Amino acid sequence: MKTLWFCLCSALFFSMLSVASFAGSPQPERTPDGEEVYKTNCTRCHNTPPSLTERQTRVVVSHMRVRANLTERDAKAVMHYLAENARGN
Amino acid sequence: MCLHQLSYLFFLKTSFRRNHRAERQKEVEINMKFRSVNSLLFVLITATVFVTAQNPDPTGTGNQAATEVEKGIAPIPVITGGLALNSSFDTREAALLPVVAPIILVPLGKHALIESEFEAESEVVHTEGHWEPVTLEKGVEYAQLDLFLNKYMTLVAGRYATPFNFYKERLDARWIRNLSAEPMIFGVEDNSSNGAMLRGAIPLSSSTQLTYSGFFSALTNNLYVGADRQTGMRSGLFFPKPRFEAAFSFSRRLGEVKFNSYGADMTWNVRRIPLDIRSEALISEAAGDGYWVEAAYRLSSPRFTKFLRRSQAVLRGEQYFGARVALDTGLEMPEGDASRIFSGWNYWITDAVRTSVAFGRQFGSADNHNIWTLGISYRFVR
Repeated sequence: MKTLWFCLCSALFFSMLSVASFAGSPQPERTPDGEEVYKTNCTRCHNTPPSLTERQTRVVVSHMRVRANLTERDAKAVMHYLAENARGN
Repeated sequence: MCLHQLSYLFFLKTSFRRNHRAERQKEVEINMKFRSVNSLLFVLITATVFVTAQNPDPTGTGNQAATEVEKGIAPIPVITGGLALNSSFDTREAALLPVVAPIILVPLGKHALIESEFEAESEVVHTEGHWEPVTLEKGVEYAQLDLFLNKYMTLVAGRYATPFNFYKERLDARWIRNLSAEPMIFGVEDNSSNGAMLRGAIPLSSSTQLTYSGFFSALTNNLYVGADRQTGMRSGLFFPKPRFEAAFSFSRRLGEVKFNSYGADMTWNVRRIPLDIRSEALISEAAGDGYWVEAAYRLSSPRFTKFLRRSQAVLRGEQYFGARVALDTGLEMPEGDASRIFSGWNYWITDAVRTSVAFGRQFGSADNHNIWTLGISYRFVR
């Protein structure tokens, strides 16, 4: 059973890493829409956060970048979206 | 002893040595293979992350507005967190569980962050006609330094929530979880580690992201920041368009009691309707096997009344099968096999204050009983 699990996990991990290696080549990317990134990632776990200032937004998004495994690009898009709706500084 | 017998004994001895040597060689080969696989994995992950990180923004446009936001305002320390008051009632006891969990976030420039969560939970239990002595459990959930190494990789050092499945990292906060009662297999995830972790996400295409976490924890014998010696990882694929994520986890305890645990989890936040489906599974000889599946439906459609639009219906089913090997793991797992079903209702008084009520029935190897839970949670940011 252990061996089977180990083989399955390794196979899945290797396949994902192989795909990841090929993903290194440049691809056409769109500038992410902050609202869309926010809805795709943040609201998966929680509802709308309380109104934050821009300064708070930057810190909270950095915190969530680690917790929710966001890329830098997505984190910046969310930061921009929340900053637009922030209540001053 | 005749020459024939002597030669036979010599033959036996040499063949035993040969076999023994062959077994040892096989063992060494397996170990080397295992190490090679581990090294290869490490090299592949690192190489992949660095190669992808080197790619400049192919469109050359970047997110101009985001950059402006980033340049303009300096971040400041933030205190956030949640308070909750939950109660549970079953045929044997009634319990009141107040919890406070403040989180402190301190930015260190653009590429580093210190974050820490302290949690204190009290338990007031009334059972068999009398009140038990009030207990207070307190501890540091995490106190970590995050270093953003590049676009796709973060180094975490210090005390952090162990990335095994997703409940501990993402849903453990009282104001986030849909039902106040944790899943039965949460015992194996309910721990923090002291050491280092590499984690992040790599976009594989516009429709797929690889998420990963790999960690090592050192043994710490301390009441508030205790941790086991263990290593492990969680890796998954996230598809943003359908908002679906599937991942698997592995952890190996390396202390006096050694054992492996394997986990799998999935989240699907359906786009067409406000329905969230989440599930986790655990396979471990020493900790037991189990799974839970939860569906939560937010009645946000405009055709509902205002009261309903602030409500959410939740249903969770779960099963746990006791450990196959009796080891003192130190984990708080259910005693024996058990199945449980919960249905709940959450209502947001405001965006920050939520009340919840849930009814469940547990079918255990010892007895079957009902469980009622009632609670209120509040989250804050200062």
